[in-house]
Amino acid sequence: MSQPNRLSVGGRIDRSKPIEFSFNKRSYEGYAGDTLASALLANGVNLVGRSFKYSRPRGIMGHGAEEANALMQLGQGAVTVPNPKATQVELYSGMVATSTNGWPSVEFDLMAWLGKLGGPFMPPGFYYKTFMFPQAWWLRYEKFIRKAAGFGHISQQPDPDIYDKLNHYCDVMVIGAGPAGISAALEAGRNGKRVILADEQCELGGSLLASQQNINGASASDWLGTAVTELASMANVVLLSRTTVFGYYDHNFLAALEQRTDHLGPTAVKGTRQRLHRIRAKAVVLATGAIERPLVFGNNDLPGVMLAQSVSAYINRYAVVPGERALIMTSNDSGYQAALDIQSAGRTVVAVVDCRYHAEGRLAQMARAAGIEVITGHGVIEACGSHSVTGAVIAPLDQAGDQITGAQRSVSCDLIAMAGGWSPVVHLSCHTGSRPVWDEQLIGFVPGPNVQQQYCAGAVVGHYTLAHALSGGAAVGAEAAGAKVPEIHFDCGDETEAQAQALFLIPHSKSVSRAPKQFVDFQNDVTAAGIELAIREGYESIEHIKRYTAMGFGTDQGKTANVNGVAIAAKALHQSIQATGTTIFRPAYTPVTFGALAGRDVGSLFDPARYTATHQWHVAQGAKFENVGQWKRPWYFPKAGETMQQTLNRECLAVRNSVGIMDASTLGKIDIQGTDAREFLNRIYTNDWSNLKPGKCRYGLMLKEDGMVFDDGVTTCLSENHFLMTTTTGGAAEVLAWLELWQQTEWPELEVYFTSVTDHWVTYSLVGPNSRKVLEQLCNDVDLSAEAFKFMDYKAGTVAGIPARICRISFTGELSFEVNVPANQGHFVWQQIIAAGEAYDITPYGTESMHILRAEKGYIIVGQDTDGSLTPQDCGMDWIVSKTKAFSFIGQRSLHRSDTARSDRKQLVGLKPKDPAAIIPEGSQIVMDPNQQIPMDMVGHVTSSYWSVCLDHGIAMGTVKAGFSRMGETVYCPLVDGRTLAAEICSPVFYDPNGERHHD
Amino acid sequence: MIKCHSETIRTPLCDAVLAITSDTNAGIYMRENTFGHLNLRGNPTDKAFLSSIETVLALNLPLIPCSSVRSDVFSVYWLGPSDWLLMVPIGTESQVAADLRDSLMGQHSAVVDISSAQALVNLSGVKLPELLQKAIVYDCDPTHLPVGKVVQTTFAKTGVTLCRCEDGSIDLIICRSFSDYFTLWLRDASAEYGLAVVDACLSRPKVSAQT
Repeated sequence: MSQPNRLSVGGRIDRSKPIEFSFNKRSYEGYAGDTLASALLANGVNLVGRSFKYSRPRGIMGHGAEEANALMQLGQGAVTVPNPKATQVELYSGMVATSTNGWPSVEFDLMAWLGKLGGPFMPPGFYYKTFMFPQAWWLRYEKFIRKAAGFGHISQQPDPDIYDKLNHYCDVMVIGAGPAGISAALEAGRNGKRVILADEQCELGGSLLASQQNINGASASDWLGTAVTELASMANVVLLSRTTVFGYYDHNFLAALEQRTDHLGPTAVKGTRQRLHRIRAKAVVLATGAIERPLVFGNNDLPGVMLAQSVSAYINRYAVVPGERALIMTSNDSGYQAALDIQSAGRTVVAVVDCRYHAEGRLAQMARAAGIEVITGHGVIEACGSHSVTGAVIAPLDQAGDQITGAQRSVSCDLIAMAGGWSPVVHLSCHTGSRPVWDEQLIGFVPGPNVQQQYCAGAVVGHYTLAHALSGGAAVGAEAAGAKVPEIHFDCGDETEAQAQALFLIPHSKSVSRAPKQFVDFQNDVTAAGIELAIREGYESIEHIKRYTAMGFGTDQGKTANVNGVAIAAKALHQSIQATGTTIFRPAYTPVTFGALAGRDVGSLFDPARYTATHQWHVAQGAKFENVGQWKRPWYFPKAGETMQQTLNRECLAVRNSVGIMDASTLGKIDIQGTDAREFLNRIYTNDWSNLKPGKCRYGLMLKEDGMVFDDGVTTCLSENHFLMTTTTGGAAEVLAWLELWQQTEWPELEVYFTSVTDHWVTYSLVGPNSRKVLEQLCNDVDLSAEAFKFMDYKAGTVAGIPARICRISFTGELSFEVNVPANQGHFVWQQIIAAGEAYDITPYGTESMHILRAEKGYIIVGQDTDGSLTPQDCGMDWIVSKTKAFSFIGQRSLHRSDTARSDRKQLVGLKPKDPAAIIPEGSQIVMDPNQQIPMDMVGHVTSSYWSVCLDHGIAMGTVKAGFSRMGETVYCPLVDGRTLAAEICSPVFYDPNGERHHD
Repeated sequence: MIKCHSETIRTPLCDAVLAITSDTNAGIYMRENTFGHLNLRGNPTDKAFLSSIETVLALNLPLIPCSSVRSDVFSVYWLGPSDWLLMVPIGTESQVAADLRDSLMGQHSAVVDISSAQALVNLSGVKLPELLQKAIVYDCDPTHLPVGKVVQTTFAKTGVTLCRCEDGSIDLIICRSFSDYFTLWLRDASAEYGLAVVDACLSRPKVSAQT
C-alpha cells in the first residue's frame, strides 16, 4: 500500500513493522512508531472530521495535545473510546477509527449545507435566540439540536476494562520530559532524591524527538538516549511515560493518568488499561513546554492549514511531509524552521510570508540562503479551497499588522504552515490558584507567582532555546533537590532569534464581520467575528465571553485558542491583554476516563462487606442476607418451597414454642474499664448505673445533646469497675467515637478506658422456652436454673468447653440466653449448640423474624422507629430517664425545652389494622381524616409493620401527633395504590404485656 | 504459632478464598501469623504503670509515637499515647493478661483480650512496594516506614496497622470482619504480580456473593 507522503529515510518509525488500520471504513498502512495522525497524513488523508457548529471540513492541524480538530471514535462495541485526538493515538494493528461526526460521511455532510446556508446567521447564542419561543417548545427543539451537536459517542455497555490507582511520594516531581524536564530530573536524581518524571508521550524526549540540533557535539537524539539510560539506571527515579499529569492540587498533590494498554488496542489488553497516579511531592518542576499559536485569518480551518512546528515534527519524527507545495506564514523566526525542513524533505516551499517588515534573523537568512522566497510585511489573509487547501491570498500589511496596505494576490499551494508565536503551557500552574501573567516581551502568558513549592523550567517560562531549556532545567532540578546548582554548559550552536511580532488577527480586505470565517477556537467554531459580536452585545468579562461564544470549552480547553481570543477581545475592549486576563484553567488538563477515577473500587470491591465468624454456616443453610451497615446479616433461612412469609411464620413460632437461635455477633461491643466507668455511664446514658451490681445487665438509652435518641443497648457489669457495653450494629463505630470524644475533650479527669471488642466476641442468642434445656447440655459449670440465673443476670462459664460469657437478655420477650465466645471458637460453639438443639428442632432465624418478635413486644429499633427527632418521652420511654442523678447526662437539658415538652409532639404508638389481614406498608403517612382534600394534614408515619403469626394479625408501630392521648382512636393510611387502610392507635406491646415469659 | 485451623479454632482468614501455593515466582507472598492479641491501656507518665508492665513482659513499653519493641516472646506496638497492642504466643494470652492484671492491680489500666478480633497478615515479595502503593495512601518506602515503625492507616477502604519487619516484609493487622474484603482486594491487586499463600491453613473457599 502506498504512503505518498512518507519519506524513505529518517524519523523514529520502524519501516520493518507495517501496521494495518482502517479509517472511515477504508484500509491504510502505517508503521510502528506512528500516531494515527502521522499515519493518516502519510497516506494523504487530511479530511478527518466536521466542525462542531457549521459542519465545516476539518483536518489535522497539530501533532500533540494541542490538536483541536482530529477527534476520533476509536474501536467498537463496549470498548469504544470517544474523542481521543488522532495526534495522541499510537497506531496499533487492526485499529478501527472513524470520524466523530459528519453525516452521511465526512466528505459529504448534509449538516454542512445548513452550516453554509445558515453560517452567516448562526452567531453566538444562535440556538437560544432562535429557539426561544414558545418557551414550552424548547424541549422539542432541544432533542434535534442535541442530536446534531457534540462529538463522538460513549458505549452503552458496561466498561470491560480494568483501571487502578497507585499512590506515590517523591522529593521532586518533574512534569514533562522535554529537554528542560530531562535535565531537571537528571540533576535531582544525581542528588539522590526520590524523583518521578512523567510525560504524556510514549517516548521521553519531548521536542528532542524531532530536533535536528546538536547538544555538546552529539545529536539531540544521542544526547537523549544517554540521558534516559542514566535516568533509568537510578533506583531513586521513577519514569512514567504515556502519563499525563492532569491536575495539580493543594499541598503539591498531583494526579496523573497513565495509559498502559491503549496503544496495544482493545484485543491485546490484559491487566490495567489506565492507571491513576496520585502523587504527593515535596517539590514540583513544571517543564510543560509551550504550544504554538495558530494565526487567525480567513478560512484558516481548511484541511491543509497546520501549525509550523507540527509540520516539522511530522517530517523529522515520523518522516511524513503533509503537502507538496507549502506556504509558510510566520510572525516570528520559528516558521523558517518548518520551511527549511520541508525543503530538506524534497518538497516545494512556495514562500515564507513574514508579517514583520524585517526578517534578518539567523533562520531567515538560512532560508534565503537555501533559495526560499521570503515575503516580508505580508500576511496570508485567506486560505482557498473547498475540502482542502488549494491556494492562498496574500496581501501587504501595515507595520502593526492590522491594516491591508496594498493589492492582494493569489498563490497556489496545498499546505499552509502557520507560526503565530508560542503559548507556554501554564495550565498546571493555574490549577494551584495562581493567575498567569502576560509577558509583553515573550508575547505570551507565563506562570504567575508560585503558591507552593513549585519550579518552572524551559518553554513554560519562555526559555525557548534548547541550551536555555537544558541549563534552566538543570538549575531548577538541583534547586528542587535542595542541592547546589551545578555548573553545566550546554552548547547547542547559535540559537539567536529576532524579535517576534505580536499578531493575533490577520486583517482581511473585508471587515471582520464580513470576511470569510477567521477561526479562533477550531473545536468550538468560535470566530473572531463571534468574539467581537459578544462584546458588542455587552459581554465584557473574558469569563462571560467564553461562556457566550464557547471559546475554550470542550476537550480542547482552548489550548490553541485562548491567547488569540483574549487578545482579540482585549483589542475590541480597548484594554490591555493583562487587564483582560484569561479564563481560569481547571483540572483536568486533558480528558480523564471515569473508570480511572473509580479505580478498583467497583463491583464487590466498591464497599467492604463484613462477615461474622459463622457466615459459612449461614451460607450453607441457604440463608438470605440483609445489609446492616456494612455487615451481611442472615435475614431469614428459607426451606425448600417456602415463601418468605412462610419462613418467617415458622421461625417465629419456633421461638415462641420451642427454641430458636440467632447470630447477633454484629452488635457493637465496647469494653469499658476504670474507676470512673460507672460515673461515665451515668453521664452517657439516660438512666442510673450507680447501683448496678457485678453480674447484672441493664438496658440503656443514649441521647445526643439535643435530647434525641441516638443509640441503645444492654450494658453488663462484669466487675465493679469493668463493663461491657453493647450498641446497635450500625452505630458501633459512632458510639465508640462518641465516648472517646466526651472522655478526651470534656471529662479527661474521669479515669476510664474504652476498647472495641466487637470483632473479638461472637454473640449467639438462644431464645425460646426450650433454650435452657439446650444450653444445659453444653454448660456444666453454671447453674442455669431460673432461681440461680435470673433475667438480666450475667455469668462466666464454659459452653462446649470454650470460656464464655452468658447473659439472660431478651429482645423477643422469651426466655433466652446470650452466649458470647471468642470469634475464633465461634463457628465451633455454634455447631455444638445446633447439635444440642436438634432434639428441640432448634431453628436458626434471621433479622426479619427478630424484627417481628421484638415488634410484638413493642421494643424499638433505633434508626427504624426513631429517626433523630424522637426523645425518650416521644418513644414512651420516660421510665428510662433518671430524674435523680447527681450529675447531668447528655441531652437532659434539651428534654426541658418548650419544644420537647410539647404534648402534641409525634409520639411512638402501636397501630392495629382494622382489617386483621392487612399489613400497612412501612413508611405510610398517617392522616386523621381520609376524606380531606389534598394536601392532607399528615400527623405521622408508620415506622414498623409486620404480619404476626403468633397474634394472627397485622401489627405496626408508628409516630402520631399526640398519639399517647389518642389511644383507641382510628387513623388512616392512604396508599399509593388508592386504597386507604384504617388502624387503631394502641399500646405497642402486643404480646405478653406483663412480661411473664422472659422472666420464666 | 499454631496452625490457623483446628477442630475448635478458625482464625479470621480461614474462610478466605485462597489456596496455599508453593509458587516460587510470585511477586507477593502472604502468610497469616497467629498470635494472641492484647490491648493495653495505661498512663505512660506513671512510673508504677511502666514498671508493672516491665515486670511481666521483661521489656519496656514503646513510648515514642509509632514505634515498637520486640523480645523473643512478645512484641508491643505503640498505638496511641495510652494505647498499646501486645502480641503474645497464641494460647498464652489468658495467662499473660491475668499476670498483667495482677501486676497492675489498683492502677488505672485496662488489659483486654482481642485475639479473635484481628488478623495479622505478613506480606513480602519483590512486588511488595507496588502492592502497598495500590492499597495504602501512606508512604511505605523503607526510608519512611523503617523497620519497627508502626502506622495506623487504611488498606483500600478498611483500617490497618502496619509494621515493617526486620526482613523487610510488612506485618498488617486487620479487623476480623473485614478479612474477606481485605483478601478480595489483595487478590485483585496482586493479580498482575502473582500471589502465593504460605503456611496458611485454609480449608475451603468462602462464598462472598449473596443473592
